[in-house]
Amino acid sequence: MLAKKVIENSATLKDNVNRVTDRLTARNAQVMTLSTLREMMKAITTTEALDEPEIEGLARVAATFYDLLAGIRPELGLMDQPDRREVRNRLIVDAAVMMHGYAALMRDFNDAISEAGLRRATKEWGVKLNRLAAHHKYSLVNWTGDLFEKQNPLWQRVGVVKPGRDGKKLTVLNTGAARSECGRVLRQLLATEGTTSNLKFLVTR
Amino acid sequence: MPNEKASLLAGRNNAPLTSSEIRRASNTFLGLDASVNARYDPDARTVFCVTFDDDGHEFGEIVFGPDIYPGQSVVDPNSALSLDAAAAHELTHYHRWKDKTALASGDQEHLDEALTSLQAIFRYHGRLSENDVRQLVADAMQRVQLFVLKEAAG
Repeated sequence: MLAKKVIENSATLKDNVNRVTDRLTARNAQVMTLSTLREMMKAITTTEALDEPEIEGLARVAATFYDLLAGIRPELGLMDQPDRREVRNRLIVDAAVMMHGYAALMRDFNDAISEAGLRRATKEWGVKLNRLAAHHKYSLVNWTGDLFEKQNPLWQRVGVVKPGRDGKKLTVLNTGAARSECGRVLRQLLATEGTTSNLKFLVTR
Repeated sequence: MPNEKASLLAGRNNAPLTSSEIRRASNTFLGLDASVNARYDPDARTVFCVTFDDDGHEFGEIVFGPDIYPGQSVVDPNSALSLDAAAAHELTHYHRWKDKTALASGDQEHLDEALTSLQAIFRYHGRLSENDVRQLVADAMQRVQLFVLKEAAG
């Protein structure tokens, strides 16, 4: 019920969540499955016993956050099939594992709303999330680029991607450990002051 | 004009809130009405107030404290108001301020509080439980009685 309310409240998730299957294929242009969204919501709720206003409130928090993020990363919004495929080949920005990283941020956003109210928190987080924008270039060892590139060595170092059987193509993992690492990396990155571009400090778990 | 005095009476919860209790209250405000800014201050008593944003624009917001949760008293209707009912009451203060229907603080304070509780029932009808509605009616009755007592005392 909560996940469906999130979709109703979000401009970018409407028609962008696959409700039919639990696994997206190359033919699916949607950003995620309903079961991934449900798992994200489980990560931000501390109890199963939510009354209706709370469910509605939590759905608004999640939808506001997602729409804010999609404004910075358009890959999280609606895309046609060829573009979605291209994004999935090159980036992990819309990978199921990364959705759990976003869920960790969502929880922090919820706390920020409690502290400052929706109005101020949305304004502050609009600035904060800019660090995840594609134009923001990060570096690690000899690599420079978009944080969410599969080729970013950080993701291999923290166990979110690994080389496939051919030793070349990178495979995205969706294990519990990889999900936690996505949350840790994103939260730590957003907690830094100033304009950090070297990702070395995120390698150590 | 709205006042900045606490609008909930003494007798409600005063124990510090855990982070999940704070989130619950914040999400309840949002779920009932996302157009109103509501934020937590551990040292505050719950109040609706008018403030200014960074650009100098005036806006109304609710600052809630631990007393947004009910207290132990079973005979005091205000103390017994549930989280949902108390949130609806505070949100209605915002709308009464915006609509310029709030009564002046001072002599009419209790009357304004009574009208706020009654209006909350209409505004958030369907999102409040029957128990919340009864609690808001009982709160309004208590506030009217307080108004009458104050008037009688001159």
